[in-house]
Amino acid sequence: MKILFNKNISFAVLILVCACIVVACGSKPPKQERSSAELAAIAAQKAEKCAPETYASAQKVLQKARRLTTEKKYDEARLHFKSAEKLFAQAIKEAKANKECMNEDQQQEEVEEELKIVEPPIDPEEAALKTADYQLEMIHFPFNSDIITDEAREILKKNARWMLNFPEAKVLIEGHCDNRGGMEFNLSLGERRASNVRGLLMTLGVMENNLEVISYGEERPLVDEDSEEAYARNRRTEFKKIWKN
Amino acid sequence: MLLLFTANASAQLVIDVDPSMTRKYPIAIAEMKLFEDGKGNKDLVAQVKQGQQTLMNDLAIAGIFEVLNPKSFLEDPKTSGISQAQIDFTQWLQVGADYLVKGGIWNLGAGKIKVDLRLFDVTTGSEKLQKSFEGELAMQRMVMHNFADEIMMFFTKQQSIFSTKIVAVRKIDKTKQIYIVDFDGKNGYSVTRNSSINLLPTWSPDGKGIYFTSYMNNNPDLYRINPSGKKTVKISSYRGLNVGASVNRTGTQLALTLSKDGNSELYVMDSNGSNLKRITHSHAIDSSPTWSPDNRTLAFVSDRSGYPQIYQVDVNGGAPVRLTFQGNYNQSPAWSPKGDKIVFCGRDERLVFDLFIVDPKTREITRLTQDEGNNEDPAWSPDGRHIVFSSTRTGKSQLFIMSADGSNQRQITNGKGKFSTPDWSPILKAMP
Repeated sequence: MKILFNKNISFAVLILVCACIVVACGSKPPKQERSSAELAAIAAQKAEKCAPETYASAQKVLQKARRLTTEKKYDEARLHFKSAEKLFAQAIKEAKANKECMNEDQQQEEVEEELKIVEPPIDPEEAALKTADYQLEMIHFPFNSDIITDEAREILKKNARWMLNFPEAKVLIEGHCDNRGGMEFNLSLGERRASNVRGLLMTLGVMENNLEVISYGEERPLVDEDSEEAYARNRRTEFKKIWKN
Repeated sequence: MLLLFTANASAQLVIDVDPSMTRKYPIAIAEMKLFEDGKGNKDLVAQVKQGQQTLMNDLAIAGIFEVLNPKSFLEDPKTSGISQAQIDFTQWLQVGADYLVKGGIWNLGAGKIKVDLRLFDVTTGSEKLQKSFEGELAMQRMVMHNFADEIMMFFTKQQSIFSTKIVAVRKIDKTKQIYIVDFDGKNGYSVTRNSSINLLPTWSPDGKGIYFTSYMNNNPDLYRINPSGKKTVKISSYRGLNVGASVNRTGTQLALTLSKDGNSELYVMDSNGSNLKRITHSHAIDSSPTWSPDNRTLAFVSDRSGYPQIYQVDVNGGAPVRLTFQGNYNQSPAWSPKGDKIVFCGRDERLVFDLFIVDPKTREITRLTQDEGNNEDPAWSPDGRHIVFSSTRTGKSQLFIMSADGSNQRQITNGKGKFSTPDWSPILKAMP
């Protein structure tokens, strides 16, 4: 409401200025001084509540300056515009000094802002997939298997969406195994896990050139322990971003 | 079990050494005699004792001897000598010895010694072997190993393993280094000293090179390095895996696994990396090749049946033939030097990894290890009498050796770090 009101005032002022120009006053109207004062008035709107006295007197002076302008008493008007500008600046200063009042004001503003945010519901996951530093999630495999489980597939879909959002990044798919079985065979198993994941990412639209594969077999466990839980965590593919220049 | 043993000691003894033979040769190793001028030297006394221990340990590992307990000996070492005329053989017959080792050591001063070693046939009272050595005191361990080699040569007419080494991977902190120890686990040192992962070492048949895979260049590439750790040469660096090299018995060709065509397949190349030839074609994993001693066939692992099993394939092509049908997780095959056995690692019904042998002709399976942790990564000694492997039976993975029938299992490493994937060197020193 405040804004509407002020716009009306500005509009009125504009009409006055135009009228003055049309009338073609003898001495020069205080154009510069007037526009500075009007701008100061807009800037000082928030000070009305926290420095009411100064603000009111600034408004009075401004109104008088306008009246003097319509009466073509340009020199007097110029002085009034200048002092109005100063008073508005003074009002802003006073309002800022009145911290208690300002805090209340800010809180109210924040509440108003929050109410605004509720309106458009943005999916945070979707937003994250659009950030460059999104963490590509690893997937896990059953024992001696390169089968991509349903759970893993959902993760890969998200990873693929990120890769499609950032085609300027290559992704290195690292295949890993648990430490059971021969190291040599596990290098092949890790390779097959990573290759299988690459194949699925390609069917999801990721460019082949953006996908690199390496197997670490059982050489880089997440958890260097011997337990079913550790084994399950170690059977995985990880995704490392390689940014092209 | 085949023992051609004649009572006539002068005749050639030919023992087809089957370590499973029930009767082993009772052998006594008499206390080494330290001659007058060395008696006050504590260091020398300790070295002499150690030398004797080395010889006893070697003959115990050999698998064809029953090394008699010195506590049972009747002879007074102070009064007896080391030559035939100075030995009362009846005293040795009484303790049950068929053979007797005697040794004398002289202090030559300035860290030098003279060693005289002899093997006697107790039943005939005759000297069978005699060896002398003059040199540094520090060499005495090697002298004992050499004499053990000579004793084995005398009995088996074959070169033995007491001058051999074993290469393996040693995990220290986050790195894995190629590491060499003597066959008895002593004198270990790191061959590679980088901050990367170095894997799957294998000897060249002349003992002058070790092939291994390393991530030092951010891809599992194949390299060759001298056992001294000097001079690393890149052999194969195709995109993807370059792993599991196995050298043929003449050293001219390598079999290995490459994944450059999108999946692990077996290939053969010249030992410098040239003349690549693809051997297998399947959507499954084909890996871990090992040459037959006639260089014609490769045994390998494939999971084309759904789970890893041992197969063999002609190097010149043809369809692979499956060798193992028991168990559902058989890996890490190693073909014996004689060609009649393939040792491999299998996971049994209790999900424990143990070592087994498959006869490539009859496909008969024999179990070698049981109820002692996980046992993996088997490799043959060059004489085919022993197998080195890794085991978790004492906690973290360490190296063990055993006779080819699974008997006589001994831990050889127990230092810092975890050991895996050992490979036994060829016989490095020609017998004199």
